[in-house]
Amino acid sequence: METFPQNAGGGKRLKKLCSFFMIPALIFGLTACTDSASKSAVSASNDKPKELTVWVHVPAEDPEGKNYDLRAKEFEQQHKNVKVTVEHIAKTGEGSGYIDRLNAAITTGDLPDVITLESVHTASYVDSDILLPLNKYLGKDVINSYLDTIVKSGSVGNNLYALQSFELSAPVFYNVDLFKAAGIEIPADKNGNWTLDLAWSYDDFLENTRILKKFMGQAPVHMFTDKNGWQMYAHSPIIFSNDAQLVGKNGLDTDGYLNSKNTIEAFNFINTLFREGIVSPTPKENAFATGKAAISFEGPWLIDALKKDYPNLHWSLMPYPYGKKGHNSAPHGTWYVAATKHTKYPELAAELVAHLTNKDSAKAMEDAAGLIPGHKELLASSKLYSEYPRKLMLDQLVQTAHLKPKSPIFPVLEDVFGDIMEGITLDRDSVENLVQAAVDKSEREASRFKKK
Amino acid sequence: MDKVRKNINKSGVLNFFFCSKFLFLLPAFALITVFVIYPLILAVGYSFTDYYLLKPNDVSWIGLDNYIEIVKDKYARSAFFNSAKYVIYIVPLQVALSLFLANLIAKKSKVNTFFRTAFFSPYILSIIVVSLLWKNILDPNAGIFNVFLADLGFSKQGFFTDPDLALPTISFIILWQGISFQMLILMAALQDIPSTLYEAADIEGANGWQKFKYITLPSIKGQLVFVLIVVTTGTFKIIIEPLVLTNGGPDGSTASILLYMFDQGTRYRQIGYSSAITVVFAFMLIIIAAAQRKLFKEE
Repeated sequence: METFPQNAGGGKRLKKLCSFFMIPALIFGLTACTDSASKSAVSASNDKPKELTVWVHVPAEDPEGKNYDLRAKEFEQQHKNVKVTVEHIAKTGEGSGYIDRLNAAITTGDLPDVITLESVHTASYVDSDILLPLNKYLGKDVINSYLDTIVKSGSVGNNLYALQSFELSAPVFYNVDLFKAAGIEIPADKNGNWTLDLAWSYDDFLENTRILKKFMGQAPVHMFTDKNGWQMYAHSPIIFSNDAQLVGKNGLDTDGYLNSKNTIEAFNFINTLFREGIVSPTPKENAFATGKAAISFEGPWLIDALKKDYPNLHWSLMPYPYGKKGHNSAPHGTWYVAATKHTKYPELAAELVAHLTNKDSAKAMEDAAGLIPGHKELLASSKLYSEYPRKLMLDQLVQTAHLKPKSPIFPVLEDVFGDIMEGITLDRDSVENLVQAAVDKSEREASRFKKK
Repeated sequence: MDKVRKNINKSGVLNFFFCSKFLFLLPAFALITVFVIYPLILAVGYSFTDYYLLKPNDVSWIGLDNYIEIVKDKYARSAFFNSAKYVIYIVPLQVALSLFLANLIAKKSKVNTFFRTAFFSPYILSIIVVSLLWKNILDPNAGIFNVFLADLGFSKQGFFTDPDLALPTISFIILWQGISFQMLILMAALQDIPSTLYEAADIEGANGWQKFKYITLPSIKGQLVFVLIVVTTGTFKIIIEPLVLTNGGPDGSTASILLYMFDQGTRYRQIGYSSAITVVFAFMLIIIAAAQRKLFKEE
C-alpha cells in the first residue's frame, strides 16, 4: 500500500499541504508563548483608565461579595479615569478555588492589585515580599479608625499590610434553663449580665460542668472535634488563656513554647473535659440547639440560626474560660484585604483597600451578616453590639482577643494543634507525648525556613 | 516498521514527520507534552530544590536532601504504608468481586440488564457525593448503620474516628464504587468467549470450577491483567476519599501518599519536597506496573 506521495506533482501539493499546517502551528506557538507581561505594552497614554483588579474569595451573591462590588463602583465614581474590576473566585476548601488561583498567580508573578487573604497568612505573604505596606500610603487618621485587633492582625513588624471592615469572634453559648435547672449560679453583674470580668476559671468551668453532667446524664459541653482550622480558631484561646504560647517570637521555634509547662497544663485541662465525659468525642449534630448540650463552643452564625429556628430556646453567651488571671483570651480573625506589590498604582491600590474596608462597609456587613464593625467610631452606635449578650462578644474581642501566631509555618501549627486535639479526643496517648510529637513535626517543617 | 523506515529513507526524516499522518497526532501530542510531560520534567527538576511556593524567585539546588528527608520523614513513610494497605484491602477484593459479578450478569437477559444498571450506578456518582453519602450512613450518632447496630444490641462504631477502622472503612467505600467499572470490562471479555468451548467442556464432563479455571480464566487473562494493573495504580492514587472523609486522620491512619504530597505542596507550600514525593511515587508505580505485567506474561 502506497502511503506517501512519490510523483513530482504530488510532491508540490504535499509541500503546500505541509505549509498549510505549519503556519497555524507557528502562530499557535507564538501566541501561546507570549509573555503575559506584554500587557505592560499597553499604552501609557493619560487617556487610558487606570485599571485595578481585585480578587475576592467570596461569591458575588454573598453579603461580603456584594459589599466589595458596591465599594468598587463607589471608588470608580470618586476617582476619575479609574476602573476597578472585582473578580469573585469562590473559596471551596483547602487548596481549592481561590487559594489555587492565588498560588498560581504568585508562581507566575501575575498577582492582581488587591487580594483578600486569611489574616493568619499575612506573615507568610509579607515574608515572601508579596504585600504592599499600607501605612506608607494611608494617613494615621485612616489607620487609627480601625479596631486595634484589626491593625495588629494586619501588621507585621512596623508595617501594616492588611485591613478589614469587620471582625469575627466565636462566642461560648450556654443554655440558661439547663443551668438554672441544674442549680448552677449564673455569674451576673448588677445589671444581670454575665460580663467578661466574671469569666470562669478552668476550675470553675470543671466544677460547674461536672454538676451539669450529673444533672443531664450526658456530656453537657459541645465542642466540634473535626480536625480542621476550627480547632485552632475556637480552641486555641483556651490554651492562650493559661499564659501559653504555641510558637516563639520568630514564628519558627515551637520547642520550649508548644511544650511549655503552661501549654501542657492547658491541654491537660481540655483532656480532663474529655476523659470525664464532659465533652463527647462524638458530638451530636445541633446538640446545643436541641437542648442536648448546655454549653457550646460554636460560631457566631449560630445566633441567627437559634433566633430563627429555635425561638423557644433560652440561651445566652458566656465568656471563654481562662487558665491564669489576666490572660483571658478569645477567638478572632477573618479574611482581610491587602494590596500586592505587583500593582502599578501602589497609592491607588492602598486607597482602594481602605475604601473596600471603610466605615460604610462595616455598617453594611453588620446589617447584612451581624458582624462586629471594624471601626472604633461605629462600636458605640452599633445596635447589635450595644446590648448583651452580643456585647460580651464585642468586649471579649476588644479586650482579650489573642492574635494567632504570625508564622510562615502557621499551616503546620494549625495541623499540629489539630493533631493534639484529635489525640486528646480519641485518648490516643498522653498529652505530653501528643505535644512532643507536634513539636517534632513543627520543628521539622520550620527547619526548612531556618536553613535559608 | 520496515515500511516506515523505507519511507523515511525515501522522503527524509523531517518530511516524514511533517508530511505524514504524524501531523494529525500533533494536537494530542502537544496536549500531552503541556499537561503531562512538561509538568513531570518540572517536578523532577523541583525535587532537587528547596522551592517554597511563596518565594518562586528564591529557589536553591539542594541535591538529594528532599529524597533523604522522605526516608527520615515518619509521616511520609506512614503515607506510603497506608497506600500499600489500601492496595492490599482493595485490589484482590475488587478484582475478584468484579469478576464474580461479571460472571453473574454476563448472560443477556432482562433481569441481568436491570442488575447491570444497578451495579453500575455507583460509578456514575461523583467521588465526593459517594464519600459524603457514606459519611452520613456511617455517622457515629445518627447514621443508619450505627442506629441499626444499636437496635441489634451492639455498640455504635466510630468508622471514621477509630484509627483501626477508618482505613478499612474507606477501602470498602472505594471498593463499592469502583467495582462496577471493572465488572463492565470483565463482562465484555466474558461475552467474547465462544460458547462452543463451554459446550465442549460440558460434553467432556467438566464441572463449573473446571470450566472457570481452564476456559474462562485463560480466555480473559489479558483483560484481567489490565483490570489488575488499572485497579492497583488507581488505588495507589487515592486522595479524594481520605481528604473528604477523614482528612488523613485519625492519627494519620488514612493519609495516602497523594494526600500527603498534596498537603506538603498546597498547605505547607513546599513544592520541592512534594515534587520529590511525586517522583518517588511515579517510579514506584512504574516498577509495580512493570512487575505485574512481567509476572502475568511469564505465567
